[in-house]
Amino acid sequence: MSEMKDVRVTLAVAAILNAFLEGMGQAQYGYKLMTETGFSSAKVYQILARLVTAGWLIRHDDPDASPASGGPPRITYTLRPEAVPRARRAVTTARAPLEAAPQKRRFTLPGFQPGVVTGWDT
Amino acid sequence: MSAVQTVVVVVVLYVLGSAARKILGDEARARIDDLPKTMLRLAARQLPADEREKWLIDWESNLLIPLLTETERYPLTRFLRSWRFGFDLMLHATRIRAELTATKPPVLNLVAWRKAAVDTACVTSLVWVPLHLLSPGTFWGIFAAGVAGVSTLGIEVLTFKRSYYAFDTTPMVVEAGVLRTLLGRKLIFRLLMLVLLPLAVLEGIAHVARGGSPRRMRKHRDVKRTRRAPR
Repeated sequence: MSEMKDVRVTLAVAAILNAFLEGMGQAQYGYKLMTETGFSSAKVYQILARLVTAGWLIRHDDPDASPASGGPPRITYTLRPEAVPRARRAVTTARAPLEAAPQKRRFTLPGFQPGVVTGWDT
Repeated sequence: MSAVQTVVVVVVLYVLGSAARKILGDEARARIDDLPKTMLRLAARQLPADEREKWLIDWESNLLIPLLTETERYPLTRFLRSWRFGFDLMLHATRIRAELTATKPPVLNLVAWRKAAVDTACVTSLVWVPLHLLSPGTFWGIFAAGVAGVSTLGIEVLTFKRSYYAFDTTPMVVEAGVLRTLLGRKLIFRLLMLVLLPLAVLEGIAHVARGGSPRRMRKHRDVKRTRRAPR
């Protein structure tokens, strides 16, 4: 097993990690993450590249899968089980300042609203 | 030509026209659908060679979602979503490359700032060009290049501003660099510096060599305008 590296966790990275934690056990892919978070394709793939390079995500390649048949695309990602505690910690850390002073933020993140209980905390 | 022949010709032309319109429509639609794939290939070319193929496979399989499933009945939505997907990746593929190669672009890119300083100097130098001495072609060339250069510079500044409010600030210099390349600002300034400005200087020298001076030239032009003006 390759070693997991530390990741620079921005709010955007936390939002993507949040999506992975919420959909635990489901295959995640770029377009789905785009629609869930509202980020552009480049931002989503930039973060996916960061997380894959750091060893937080596992990349699955299923050549038979195709969106044409209603399924997910060929390449999907799952959060490595060893990365789950780190991801939870990262999301909690990123969310703390938003919860402390949400009214002062100039922007909000789609899919990562401050104060929303996302279900994976329990 | 008899009436029957005319009718036959009209019908044949109508059928051929309809067929041609359908063929052209299908061709245009196929090409519009293919362009995002081309954008993805251009984006993949910006990645390290050993990473290109697997990311391209990922992007192309995700592109099928807006192309095939979600918006099959809505061509405009399909067009917008697929183009946005491809164009955004093409524009910002350097960010992904930076993540894959773990070489973060420096926030203070001295080369970029030096280029920006040179560009600013180019624009400033326009102030000293004796515009009234130039031929209309050179004048409008310089004018268009100056406006285009300043506009792209403005868009670049806006990009910096937008990146400032985004969450990742490090790739902003790279983003601006890609945008600058796409807008052809480098080309505009090269055109300005290497072609138009020397042309302007040569025209000015030629005018002075003929015995003219800027003041006399202006006076001469004003006299001509007064003569031409309707009474």
